[in-house]
Amino acid sequence: MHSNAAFDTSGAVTVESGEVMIDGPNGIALSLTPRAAREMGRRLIAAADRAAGQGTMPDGAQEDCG
Amino acid sequence: MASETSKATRGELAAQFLKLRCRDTVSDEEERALEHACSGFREAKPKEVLVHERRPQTQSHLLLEGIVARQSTLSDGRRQIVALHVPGDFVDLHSFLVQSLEHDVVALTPVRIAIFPHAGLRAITETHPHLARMLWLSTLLDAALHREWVLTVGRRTAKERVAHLLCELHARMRVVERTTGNSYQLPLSQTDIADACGLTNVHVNRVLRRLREAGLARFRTKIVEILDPEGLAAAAEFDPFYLHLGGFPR
Repeated sequence: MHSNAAFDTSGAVTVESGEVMIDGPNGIALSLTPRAAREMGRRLIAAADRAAGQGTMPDGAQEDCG
Repeated sequence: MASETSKATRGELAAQFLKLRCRDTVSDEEERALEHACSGFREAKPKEVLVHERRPQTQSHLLLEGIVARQSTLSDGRRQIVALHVPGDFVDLHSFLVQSLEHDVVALTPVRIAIFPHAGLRAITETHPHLARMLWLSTLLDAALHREWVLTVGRRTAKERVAHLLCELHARMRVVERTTGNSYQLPLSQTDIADACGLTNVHVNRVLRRLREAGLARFRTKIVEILDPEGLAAAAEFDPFYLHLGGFPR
């Protein structure tokens, strides 16, 4: 697996003591408050919709993440 | 301010000698040279900063008892522990040549350390070249640990990070005879472990529970008990090669 390619698997999302935890893919290990998790979820869905409409980027191309 | 005494016996440097002897033969004369270079001892309490970043240093510190962290902090208070030190480790030998550190050195537990003025270390480099190479090796081992930790925080999962840390500390503690079978004392808080692994306290708590439930390791009352050494190493992808534990002429 190329570690610099986008991952085609999602991380595991679980709940512990009032925090939302994201484990993986790769080295992602993140804990969020419920508010931050909801907002990130909305942003992820919106970004995924935009990305799906772009198709595959040519080699070397990078999306503006700002 | 830490207390400073010179009441310790020469045997207190034993952990350092164990660490060196694991990698090569150390002669009596070299041990005496290292003892001679030690100017005294000091103790410190948990959270006490032993060495502040950016302050010029004239001495280095060898950890005799306890756990010490090298840590860096961002402007908003986010802390990353970039290294943990166990007895037998020089915690800032590199200050001999770089003078000022780019990180703090902090006691995480009550600690006892031996002080080595840089002038004495310089004398060793001039009179005992093999011992100087062994001290050089100590800093290379630090660098190898740092590289492994970069891999850990960059690519390992939360479970792998904590499992790897438990395996690594067991291997390092065993070298300096601080283990009992597959157990060792680790008087750290979950916050310390979280800051070493780049996780939150809750995340560490959950990972530790899962390691325990899986029958791999147990961490309670400040003691780590590795229940399944092979299983824990497999879960962490722990390979002790980077610790360079082999002994040969250097």
